[in-house]
Amino acid sequence: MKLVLALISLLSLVSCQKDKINLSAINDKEYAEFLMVVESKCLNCHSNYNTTDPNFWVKKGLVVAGEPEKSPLYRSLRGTKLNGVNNMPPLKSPQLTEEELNKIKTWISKLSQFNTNKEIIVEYPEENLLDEQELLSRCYKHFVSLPRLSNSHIKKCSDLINELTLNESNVASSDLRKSILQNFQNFHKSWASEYNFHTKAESWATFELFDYSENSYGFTENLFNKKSKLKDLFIGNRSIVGKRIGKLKNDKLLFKQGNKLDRPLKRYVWALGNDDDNPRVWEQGGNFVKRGELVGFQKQKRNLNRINEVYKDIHNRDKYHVSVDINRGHGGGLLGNPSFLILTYANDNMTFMDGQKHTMRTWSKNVFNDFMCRTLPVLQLYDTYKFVKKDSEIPFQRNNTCMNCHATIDPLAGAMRNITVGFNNVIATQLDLSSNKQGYLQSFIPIDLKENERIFDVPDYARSKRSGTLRYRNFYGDLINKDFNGPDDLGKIIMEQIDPYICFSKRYLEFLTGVQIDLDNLIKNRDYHSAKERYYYNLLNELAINLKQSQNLKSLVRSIVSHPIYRLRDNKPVIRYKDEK
Amino acid sequence: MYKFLFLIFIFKTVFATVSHVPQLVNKYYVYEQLKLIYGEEAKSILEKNILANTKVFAGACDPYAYESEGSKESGKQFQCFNGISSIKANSHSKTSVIRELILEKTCDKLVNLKNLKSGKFNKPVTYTDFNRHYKEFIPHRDLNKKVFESIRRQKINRLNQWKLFSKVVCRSLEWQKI
Repeated sequence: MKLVLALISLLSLVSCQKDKINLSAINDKEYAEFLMVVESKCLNCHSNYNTTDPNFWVKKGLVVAGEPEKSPLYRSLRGTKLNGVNNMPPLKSPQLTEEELNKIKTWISKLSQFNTNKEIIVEYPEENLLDEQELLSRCYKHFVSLPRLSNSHIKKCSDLINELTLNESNVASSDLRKSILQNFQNFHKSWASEYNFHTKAESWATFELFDYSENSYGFTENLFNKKSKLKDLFIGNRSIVGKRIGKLKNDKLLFKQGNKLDRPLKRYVWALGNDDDNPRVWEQGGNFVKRGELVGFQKQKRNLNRINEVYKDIHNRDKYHVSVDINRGHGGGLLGNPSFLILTYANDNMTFMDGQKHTMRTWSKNVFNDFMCRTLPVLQLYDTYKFVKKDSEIPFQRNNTCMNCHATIDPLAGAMRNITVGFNNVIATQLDLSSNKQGYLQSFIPIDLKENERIFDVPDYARSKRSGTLRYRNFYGDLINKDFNGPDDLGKIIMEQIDPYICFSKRYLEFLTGVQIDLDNLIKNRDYHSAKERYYYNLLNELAINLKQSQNLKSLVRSIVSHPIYRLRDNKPVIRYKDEK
Repeated sequence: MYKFLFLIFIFKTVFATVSHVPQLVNKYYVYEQLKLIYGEEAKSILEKNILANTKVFAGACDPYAYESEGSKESGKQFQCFNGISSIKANSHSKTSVIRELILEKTCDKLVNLKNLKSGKFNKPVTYTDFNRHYKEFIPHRDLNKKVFESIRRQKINRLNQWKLFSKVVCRSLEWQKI
């Protein structure tokens, strides 16, 4: 008998083993916390509660949306002393804390605010529509940013869209097309966000050798070339650069800062010999970024500038022997573009990545900013508990709030683990770089440590495979957690997601209609959208799906310009939920 | 309770997820439009007041499109007048008091350009002539006759009536809206 009882007890213990609810699929913080309480206090016996479907609780009659006091689940958890129908969990089991009870209450209260299934009514009032001439005027201002002359052959917006074309040499063949080209190039180059200009590279000669806006040419070329595909911009190591026609010799460097002559701001002027009191002659070396009118595009040339050494600082100390074609990309297309790497490199010069203290974190952050319009954190707190290492020697790894960002940017930075940046004087080789007065003619150069074996004491991490994980919550709130093998694979995975296309759509929508969307908030609050927010969420989704399919920005422009919003005088449709007045 | 509602209102207004900003043309459009209307003589005024004011009028500069050699220049409109801070400016501008003030000052200088006295403004004060000037700014619309009448009734000489009218249109938002 004892044996039977023991067996029954053992069986009941086994059957009461906790199941785990798959919380990684939940994108709503309050709901995740609700489920965590259910998992710890209810699931032992109520195994059917092992669900992530929020509708389950309402359908089963356990929860009355928005009304915790009427919800049997909440009432039972409060117990019979507080008008509950019974005591749950049973009094002999561990009871809920006040905090846990509040988590249950919070989510049930929130349920009433769910707007995701409400019908939206949208009106585009006729009295607010532009006539054909006004519409043409708007298009012309957007596309050309110049006044339309009375003899112009452009008679309607579609004529302008047809001008988004290059000839077989990848060149804009008319003045109008060149103006449109320059206008959209200016727009695309404004996409890049937190760059190093104001900290590291602005005062140096770096951007004589690297076009600071190199990443934006690919987008402009895509807009003008119907054969171009957005996803191809994120693969390979040859950038698309501007084709320019110069008229003058250009005897000044680019970035002198205003007309201030006080040192250190005058260093360029001074070093160039433009200082009347102290002229100094120097001879230009290297191939500079071509200057002149932007007329089209070309692939970056191979071996435009080769160097054989880099330095840790401007005074020629800690010299490293290298062999680098400096304008060649480092894989992943735009992700590994040398200009992008310099602008997003936030370590000291010649720092070798170790995967712990030093990684390309600012680069990772900018991948999200520039190509997905997202700011960190892009994970929920409950996504990242599992990455916390309580016994780590690195402080941020012990803290979940820190790991909320690091769980995204650290594994992503694996794609550029082999990169460091050093100085080189390729543009002024004859100058004495140990002189304080002349050293400023140096440039930052990205170096691939894997390809330069003569650089020693490099951590294994920096020389190992350029792999990692793309990890974030996407536009729909789904957790993306994909491993990649190398930058090209990362580029491919990124462009398989909806988020870059959402980002490009959001930017174009703002450019063409003035609608500004805070994407992070729109995603975070998607269960509580106002009618207007829901409308723009759906619109972005629709534009992005089409863009992902077409892979071409021209189709995006066509979609927005032909959308009723574009024709509204104030670009503001009247939007409400069906049951709202 | 009211404080709470007020806070919600402020929060919704200031931190709106979706907001709409009416767009105005950038410095390139303003520069070309006013140069077209007031002539080449206006160039230096426009360079100093409009092109060099990227923060106010928007429109990113392009340092690679601007060329210079000694005193010669090409692609002047793309120059980064105030250093590199303007290479990442917005594409379009928006209304602001400072923009209105700068444009008013610029228009004031433009209507006083010498060549206008013997050229564009050397005409009688008629609706047809005023409307023609108005259409240089806003081609698809006609001048409101009440505006014409109100200027015509001003007790100032013909040249000053022209200057007044031109300045009113020059600084108006109508032609700047996108």
